[in-house]
Amino acid sequence: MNRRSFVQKTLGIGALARFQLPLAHGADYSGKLFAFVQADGGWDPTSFCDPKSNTAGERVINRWAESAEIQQAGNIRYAPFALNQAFFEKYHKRMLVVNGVDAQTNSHSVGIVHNWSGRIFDGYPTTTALLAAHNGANLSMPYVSFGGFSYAAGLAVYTRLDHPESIRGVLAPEMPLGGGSKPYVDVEDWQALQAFRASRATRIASAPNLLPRAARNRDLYAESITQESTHGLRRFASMIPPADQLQGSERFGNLWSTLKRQCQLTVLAFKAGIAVSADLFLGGFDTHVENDPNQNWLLGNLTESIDFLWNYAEFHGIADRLVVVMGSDFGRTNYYNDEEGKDHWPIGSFIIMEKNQRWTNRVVGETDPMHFAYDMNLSTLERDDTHGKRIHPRHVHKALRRYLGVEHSDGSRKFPFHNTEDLALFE
Amino acid sequence: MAEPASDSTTSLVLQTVNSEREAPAPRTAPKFLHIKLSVVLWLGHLIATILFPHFATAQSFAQDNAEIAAQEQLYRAEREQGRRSTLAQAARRARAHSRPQTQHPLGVSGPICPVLGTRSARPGTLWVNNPTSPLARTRFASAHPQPRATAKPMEPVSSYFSQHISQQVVQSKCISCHVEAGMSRHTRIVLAPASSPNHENKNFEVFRSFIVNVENGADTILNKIRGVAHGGGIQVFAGSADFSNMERFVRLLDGQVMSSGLSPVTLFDGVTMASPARTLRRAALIFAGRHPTEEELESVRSGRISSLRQAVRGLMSGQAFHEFLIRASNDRLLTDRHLDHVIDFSEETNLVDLANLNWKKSREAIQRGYNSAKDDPIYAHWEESTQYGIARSPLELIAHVVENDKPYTEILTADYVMTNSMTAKSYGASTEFSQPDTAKEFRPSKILSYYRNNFSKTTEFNIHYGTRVVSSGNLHTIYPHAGLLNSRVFLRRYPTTAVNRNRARARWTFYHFLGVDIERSASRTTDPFALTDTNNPTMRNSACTVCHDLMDPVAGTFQNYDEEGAYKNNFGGIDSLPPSYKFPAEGEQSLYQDGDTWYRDMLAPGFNGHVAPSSDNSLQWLAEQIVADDRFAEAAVRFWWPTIMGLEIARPPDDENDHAFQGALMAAHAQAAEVERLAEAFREGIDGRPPYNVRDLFVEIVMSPWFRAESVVTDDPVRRAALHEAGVERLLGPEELARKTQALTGYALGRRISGSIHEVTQLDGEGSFRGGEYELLYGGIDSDGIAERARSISPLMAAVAQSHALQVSCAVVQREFFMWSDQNRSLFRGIGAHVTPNSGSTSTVVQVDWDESRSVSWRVGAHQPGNHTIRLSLTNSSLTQDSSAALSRRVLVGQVQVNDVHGNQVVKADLERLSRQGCGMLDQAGYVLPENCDLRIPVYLPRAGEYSIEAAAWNDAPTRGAVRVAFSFAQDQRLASGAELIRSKLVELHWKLFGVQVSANSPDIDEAFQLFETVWERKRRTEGPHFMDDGTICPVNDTSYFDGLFDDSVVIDEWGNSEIDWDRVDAAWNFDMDDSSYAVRTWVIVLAALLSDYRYLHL
Repeated sequence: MNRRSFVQKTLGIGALARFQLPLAHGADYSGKLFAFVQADGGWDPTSFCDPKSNTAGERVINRWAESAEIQQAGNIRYAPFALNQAFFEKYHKRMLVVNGVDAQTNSHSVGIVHNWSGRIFDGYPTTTALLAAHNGANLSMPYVSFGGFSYAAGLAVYTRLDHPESIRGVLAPEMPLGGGSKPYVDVEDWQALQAFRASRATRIASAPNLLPRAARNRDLYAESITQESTHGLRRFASMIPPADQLQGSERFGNLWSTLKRQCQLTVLAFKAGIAVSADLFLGGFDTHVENDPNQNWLLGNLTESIDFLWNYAEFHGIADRLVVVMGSDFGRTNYYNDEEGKDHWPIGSFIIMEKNQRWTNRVVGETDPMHFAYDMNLSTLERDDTHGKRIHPRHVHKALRRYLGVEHSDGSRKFPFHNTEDLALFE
Repeated sequence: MAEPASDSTTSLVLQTVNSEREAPAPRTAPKFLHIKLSVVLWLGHLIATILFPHFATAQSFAQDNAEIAAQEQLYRAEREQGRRSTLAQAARRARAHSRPQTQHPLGVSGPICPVLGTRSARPGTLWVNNPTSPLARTRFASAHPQPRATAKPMEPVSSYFSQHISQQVVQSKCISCHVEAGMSRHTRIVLAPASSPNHENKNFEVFRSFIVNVENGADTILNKIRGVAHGGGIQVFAGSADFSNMERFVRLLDGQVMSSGLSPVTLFDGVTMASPARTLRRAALIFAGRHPTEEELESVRSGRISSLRQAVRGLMSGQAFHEFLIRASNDRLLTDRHLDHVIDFSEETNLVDLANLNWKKSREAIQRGYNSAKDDPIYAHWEESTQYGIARSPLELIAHVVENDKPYTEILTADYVMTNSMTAKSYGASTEFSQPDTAKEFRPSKILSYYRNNFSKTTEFNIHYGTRVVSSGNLHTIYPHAGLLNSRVFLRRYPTTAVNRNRARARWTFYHFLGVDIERSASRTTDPFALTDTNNPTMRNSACTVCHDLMDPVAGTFQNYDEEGAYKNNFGGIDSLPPSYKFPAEGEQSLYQDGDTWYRDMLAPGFNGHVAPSSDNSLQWLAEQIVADDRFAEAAVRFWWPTIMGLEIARPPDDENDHAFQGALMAAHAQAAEVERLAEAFREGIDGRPPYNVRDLFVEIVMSPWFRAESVVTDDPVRRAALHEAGVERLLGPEELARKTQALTGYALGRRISGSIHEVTQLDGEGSFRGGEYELLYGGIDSDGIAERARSISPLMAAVAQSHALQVSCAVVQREFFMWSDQNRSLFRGIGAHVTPNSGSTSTVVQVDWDESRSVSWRVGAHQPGNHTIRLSLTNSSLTQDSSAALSRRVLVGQVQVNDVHGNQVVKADLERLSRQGCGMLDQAGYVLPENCDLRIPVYLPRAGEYSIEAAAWNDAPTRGAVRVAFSFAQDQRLASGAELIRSKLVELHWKLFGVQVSANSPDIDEAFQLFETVWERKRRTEGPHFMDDGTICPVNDTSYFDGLFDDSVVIDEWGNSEIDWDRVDAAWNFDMDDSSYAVRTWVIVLAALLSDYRYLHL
């Protein structure tokens, strides 16, 4: 044996790779693509999409309101704070704001569950999962998650996309992680190996008398190694740009954000046809101390990232299919605490975005000057102090399910919203 | 009246489904399984009549039911008619209507199930308990004995309440929250404590009123006590006597309650448990990171449970167990978030030795010419090692307690802190270490050089060196160690602010060590007005006090620790209160008074209604309180269960309309019952050993049916839903997969040798499953934004697993076949590089490229006396060589003999006789062995011993290329074919890698052999003779790869980064990597397939 050839083999120097990544888009799904942006910790809607100026005789609700007026873009009022002006001016026409949403809690864990699944109790999947299960059943990673609450209730399996540089290598597992022109295994052997795995996985999954957990895991494994899955992963891998073209991490003091990179990878996964829904995550909104500077940076980063998301989606030709929903655990108190922070407040907001819709450039739901929610007629969307109902996250999610076409899906039938009125958000 | 209920099939049925009275229960009760109701009834009657002379009890029991049914009907009718009769009146009327409506052949009233004692039993399949099942004797059954004397048929419901509900349920469970001053005072159920006069009547009326006025009130009560949408979680287990009594009580009031035939005790009927060997294998992978040894397997072969327990416990030692403990602990505490940084050394002044060591080492770094100490690898190594020692302290404490069989309570009460040698020095401790240079050896130490700050302390600050403590001052502190509670990293992981006031610390203390999730423990405010209350709402507003009453006193016990976790860090060293509280903005009044250590507008530091006696050591006091609380043991079970089982403990579903509600509820109850059983055993001590022994607890968890459940036969959807998470056939985590691969193959992807600076903070390096990229991609956590493991495999994770398999496979196969001797091999011992589907069982191949007779010798080891066969064949394939040359290739064999260990000839082959076999021929020069000739030479060995084969051979035309001759040797006719040997090896690999025993002709082996054949056939058609000739790479990403093969094969740079020294390896290289039979390359593919098999990746 020639030692040099051993070194060549161990280091991957030499021959050209014989693998060809499939270039064709394999997915047939051509419906809407769904990005749910979780502003984790409790954002401050009064400095964002439900702006509040200070009220005489009350404690200061917003410092910015001491020197600035509430602004309006189209039909949507916003706070002159962070990068809101640029964002609302640019996007108000594709924006529906739902204010006065009562999360019925000031507990993070409960607020998170309520706002992302639509039910205050545990056990229901995120709407993201419902969409993935219904629209992306045969895709490689129909449900993409970057953290936060991504409970799928067994309807789908989420895929974390945290390290794109590594992902690129892994998604073509026969190729070296760090790149290189030679594969670990040549194409014919790879095909033989894959056929063996698939055949064996199918056989193992059909074993009798399995416990539910074992049966589920075997099915998941078999589904994970199908040809469709591996081809989809390859497509995605081929689309991930080099490291220097990936969006980086951004920092502000102890806060940090990878939201732009999440947006980038989400668009690529959508474009590759392997994902239909994604949970994006930006933490740090729990601003009990120094609310304004922290919310300022976070909301700025949020809106910048969403702008990037739309631009990147446009560049890749999928913006017309994109639906973006932003929300948070709840809101923040209508006053500052001793540390210039704001504490938990059950009233929050959602922002739903889509291009070219007649239901956009609109605000639904109202709060009073101190950010207390008014009851609403959920059909006329008018304030109704007598017979109205408070808007809860379940109303928003129920409306989303209907609008996005999964109201009658298996998942929705399994996890229905009982005793929940229709909220006419999209009519 | 009868034998204990836990030993009887019949009694268990009654207990768990009805629990109305003791049933006849001889120990020899017959075994019923999955029998239709009618069959059960008929058989039950027949057998009971024959065997049990007191079967009449069952009849009277049935009659009781009829009376109760009549009682219910009447009461309901009265209520519906609005007559509002008293319950006593209802009971009186019931007596007059208590005859059965329909006479059943067995003396049972018509609409009432005689077995379930209720109308609600679902028709059809009935599951009854198997008395021989160990589950029938679980503690759950004995822990919840049936009520001794249940209600007389005619007794009023209020009496039933007094006898069976008031004390057993209301005063024991509900009253802790549902009282005027309790957490649940805002609910519709507010009860009177036992100290209240006439409390039974009052409480009875509360329940009666609730059921009358609330739609589905009875269901609501039963669901709440079972934990459904109940802040207090499960209070009464389904299937327990208390639950049956409550069910009966509310049924008497309402009559609409349905009952499930399943109970935590009967849930596992029909479930087959894993064999002891399989159980042991799974436990070994979890606790020891390997498969059990043959000795360990042999020890459980008897099937005795005691042997299995002993074997499982025996797995719990060594490095892999330590890693398990660290990983499992961090999965809960998440303190590894700060693994590389806990304390800012340059600003530290309380830890005097740490400050001065940092100063000294920083100065030395600058003196070595670095602009910043952090640029100096020597400083960086010290700093990183010391931070690591601080960061891993709580996890190492837990490991220390467990590994030394100390009581688990010590994790909170330890009066020491775990340190490595670097951290110990920084704390002023002179702890002895056996390996003081490694950051990974931890010993108990004490913080001895802690001096609080006041005017007596003098310090010096230098922008390059940090802070030096010139004079420590007079506030030397005997640090009040409270186990992990006041470890710096625990306090840092759960920080506080002036607003938060240690509430996060309290919340997580409750969660981790008392099993109480405060955020879910009580209904939350739905009223934002409560949140605008500025009049100290956490003490005065019921919307807030619901949680804060519980949480804030515990927060107070952390009073001495500031946001960074430093003890009494304010100047003067008397408290850690924030300046904003002590010195508020101008115009605002300060509540602070001299000497205060806690907020005056919060509840006093304390726990469970008791105030901490001293402010100096309130955290130590809290630790003592917690470990004395019964919930501590239950929290311990909840702490460890998820890592072992791969799932959190099931919570009751929150809404009875939920999908598979009954099954999910049953699962939650059965697991809660199991948690309670485990907790009590843990608390009391297991198998006569001392209490709070975690290794004993682990054994008990492994012995649990939730762990051992293997398969099930059931058509009951409720049971199937309840068993949704039973069994541990779960995905291995990234660390578990890496450890398993290392144990089986000796190869660890991404491993870097000990001593690397990065070894301090991560187990393995780039591209690894422990600290590298794969860890998160394969479902691991970063203890920060990703704090929950991904438990289900996704296509991306499957791709990671495949990548891992391919990398490992090639490295392992080439090392085993080409670098390691046969006896050193892990997976491929006993099979040669030239065994192929159409070869013999070749044990060696000799390349004959000389043209004169030369002796070839080959040791064949020990053999018994008798007939043996020497087998010779050429392995050069004409298919891959120039055909004209190949066809003319041959070897000449001059002599073949068997020698003993001293080299003396024992047997000489008769070549002349062989020439008559029709394969090859004898000429004047020797025996001519052409291609495609399988020459078999019979020899007889007269005695047992060590032998070698010696042959004289040469190539008469070496210019046409070397000839490769394969030799094999075996006794009698057992000379297996290559195909048989490959199949045999595959059988062995299935056992080693998956722990499954299959035959050589099983579907598993057929599939794998077919893969081997497919790959091999293609390779021999298309590739060259060398292992490297296939155009692929075979990466080596393990710095220990050449251990034992070359000296100094690893080079380490000044920062401690290690990598293989390829120049040195190249210079010493002497391995022949000939793969002219294409078998080795084929094994690479086959092993990769097996390493990515479902069964390899799952427990």
